[in-house]
Amino acid sequence: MSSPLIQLQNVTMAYGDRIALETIDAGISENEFIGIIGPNGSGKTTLFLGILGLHPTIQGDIMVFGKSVKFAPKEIRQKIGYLPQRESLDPTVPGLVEDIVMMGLYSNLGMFRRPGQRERQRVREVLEMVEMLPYIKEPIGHLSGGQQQRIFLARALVSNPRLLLLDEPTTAIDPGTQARLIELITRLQQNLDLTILLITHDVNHLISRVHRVMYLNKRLHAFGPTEEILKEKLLARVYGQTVHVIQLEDGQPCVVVSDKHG
Amino acid sequence: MVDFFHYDFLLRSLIAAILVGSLASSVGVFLVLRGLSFIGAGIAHAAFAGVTFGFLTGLNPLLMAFLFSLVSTGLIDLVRRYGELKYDAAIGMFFSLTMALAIIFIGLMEGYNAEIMGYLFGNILSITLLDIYAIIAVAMLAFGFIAGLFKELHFITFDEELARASGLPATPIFSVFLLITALTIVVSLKAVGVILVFALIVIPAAAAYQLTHRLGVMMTWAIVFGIASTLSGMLMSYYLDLPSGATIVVINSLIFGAAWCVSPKKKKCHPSAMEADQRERMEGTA
Repeated sequence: MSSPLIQLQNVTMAYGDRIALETIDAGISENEFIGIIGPNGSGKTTLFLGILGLHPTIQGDIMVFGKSVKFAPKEIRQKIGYLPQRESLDPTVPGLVEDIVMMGLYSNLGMFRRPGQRERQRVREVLEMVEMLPYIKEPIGHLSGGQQQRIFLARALVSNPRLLLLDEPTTAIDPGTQARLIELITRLQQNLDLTILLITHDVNHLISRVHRVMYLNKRLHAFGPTEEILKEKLLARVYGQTVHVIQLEDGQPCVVVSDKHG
Repeated sequence: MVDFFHYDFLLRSLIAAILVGSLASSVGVFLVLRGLSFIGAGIAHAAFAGVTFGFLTGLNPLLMAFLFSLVSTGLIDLVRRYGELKYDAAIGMFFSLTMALAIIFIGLMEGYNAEIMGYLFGNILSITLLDIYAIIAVAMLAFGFIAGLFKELHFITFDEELARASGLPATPIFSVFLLITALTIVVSLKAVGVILVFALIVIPAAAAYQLTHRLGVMMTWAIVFGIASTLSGMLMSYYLDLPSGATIVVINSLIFGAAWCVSPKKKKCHPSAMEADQRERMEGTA
């Protein structure tokens, strides 16, 4: 692994008096695929907002691409592809698929400049990558949840970022569609040499795909390879329920959350 | 048929109708899509408080209208951001406060002022040359801003936080847009009035939304509807001796009704989300 792409140095973040993240120290290297788990309100999204420089640290510093987000937020944001939680996006706003994906290029294009042939070609390329090119002229509101997520993933990828922050990309879509989306993300990570941070509530999405898993609950409780995280006791704390790690027929571990409180 | 070019006041009304109709409806597109339609009413009432303050103190009413609407817009945004309130609650608060101030200012005046009623209900036939200059100046600023930053405004309308996350200066851009909205409302007051300027902002945009899935096309339709309603409202006001502001609103509402009836968004000509889900399972696209 090369030098850290993201360095979290004693990071504490808060909303008013409420601490969201406390004294986090971690380093993430280039081309790593990191899964982030933790219960609701554990500071996962806040960490993304910190990396993007959209929410300040009250202590410590976040270094991205070797620079502090405090001093170079715009430069850093332009190199990051971000897919926020789905409920914050409004697909009823008029726009075709190509318009939505094109938005990912606006910051690099600069104000008062219109997208040209080169930008339109890039949009086509990235839609091809996420297997959505046939839908380029469809209104975004006409697509299903899973298809919309692919479009938003394309929007995050279109500026050719080195780092991708994906905040619960599989929320509110059916299990089959979730699996195909995660497969696509894994393939893109490998083919494009991306560094990806993926927030999810389903640990099974991460098994055999990510390099390391970060368990956050305001503090950094664990950060290591998947097998280190697949401990029933630790996962019971994540889910607040009894958790069983079972072996499937193909030898893969699978996390099953029972209805008993852990 | 009256020759419009023989009567200065008619020519001025004609120019005002075209400019105010296009101006209010174009800013309305972004306000409607962001769910901020009500801010138009909030700013208009703040502007009215400014007008009454101007008449009470002898200061320029339009300048006071601009200052009051500017301060009110700023405070609405401040209360929303730092008071952790939703926009509608913050707007509602200042809407009531500024209307209360306007009533107090009117109460402090001696006698009845007919000109104030002109601002309240609007009279497009009373537009002066100075009003026209003010409308032209604001129109140039607004159209220049919207045309120049159309793609940024589209992104901010879609998701402000995402726009900021991708490196766009979303907050300053939208603050300038709100300033332009305040200016638009102030220069439209005399033509359509405090109560009805809100309708000219919201209805053409809402009607245009029925007809398209593209923002550029929606903007074009909104401007066409805005101009059509103000022009026909002005003509009907002149020929039928009807109040211009109210006539404009009724015409706008008829346009909305027609747009809603022919809206392709009502028809099931596209796959519903459920059908798309089924299709994607079969095709294997996410």
